[in-house]
Amino acid sequence: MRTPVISSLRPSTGQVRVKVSAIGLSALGAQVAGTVDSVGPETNGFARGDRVAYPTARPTGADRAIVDQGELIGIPADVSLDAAACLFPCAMLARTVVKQLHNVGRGDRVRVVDEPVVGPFLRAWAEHLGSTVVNEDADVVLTADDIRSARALRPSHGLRQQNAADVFAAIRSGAFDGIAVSSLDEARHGARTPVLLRPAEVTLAA
Amino acid sequence: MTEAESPDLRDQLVPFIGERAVALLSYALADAAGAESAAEFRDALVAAGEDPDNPQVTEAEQLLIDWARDPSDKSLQQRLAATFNAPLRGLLAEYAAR
Repeated sequence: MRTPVISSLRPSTGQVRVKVSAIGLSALGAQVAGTVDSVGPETNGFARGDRVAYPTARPTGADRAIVDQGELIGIPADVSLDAAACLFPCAMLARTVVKQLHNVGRGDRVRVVDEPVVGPFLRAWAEHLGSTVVNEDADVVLTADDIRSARALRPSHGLRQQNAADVFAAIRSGAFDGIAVSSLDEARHGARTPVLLRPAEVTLAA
Repeated sequence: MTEAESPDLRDQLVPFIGERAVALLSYALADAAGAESAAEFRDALVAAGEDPDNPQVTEAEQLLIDWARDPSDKSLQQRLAATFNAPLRGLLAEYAAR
């Protein structure tokens, strides 16, 4: 199957064109990671060669995408594009639960809801913050309602970037190394973990 | 698993403006201050394929470089305020003051 190519499209004001490398799919939607290969007028920071990630409602399978700069998160050099695509959305949501809704910290005993997608990220964050994940006698209980509440929050542009730096620091330190990522084939066989796709696989996944 | 660490200032800037702009800003700040780290930042730019003496920059990158070299310039401060949001400006000021 041929991959759609839109490399001839030019970004307009405030937009960049991204060469797509990885697409992460989860219950939270799709996250694309790639490299800026062209910038439009009045972009304020990102330039050709920068590695970026952005959410999308509908990944197309095209090898290039035109994206508003306000959607972009810059990816540090020591975080892979695959990790940014696959881990970032769930890690960001879980961060909201453990840090903003509950302020989980060192020494806390934390029980985590048995939820297949975000649950592993909640456990990883809790341990990363120095707490202990337990099944009973918990100081803090992270629930499905917390996940729903976190999803309803819409952080401002600046706050989203600040939180992203925290998530990248956690990825860099290995906080999510134990979380499985599925291939397209594994997802077809029922895997519930985040799925990593290449652009050419998007049409196959549809 | 390692214990949680807060991202440093440089890592906090990257999600806003990307690695390249942060690298150019870091070099301009260090060079303007005559800091030894300027050589390190310069080498990093060269390794990334940039010409530190004549970088091909976007308007926003040029603004960051100019501001790094003269942060007290009122007109640059105004352009900075018009170009970047408040959280980013706060981080930039903190980064420049290190």
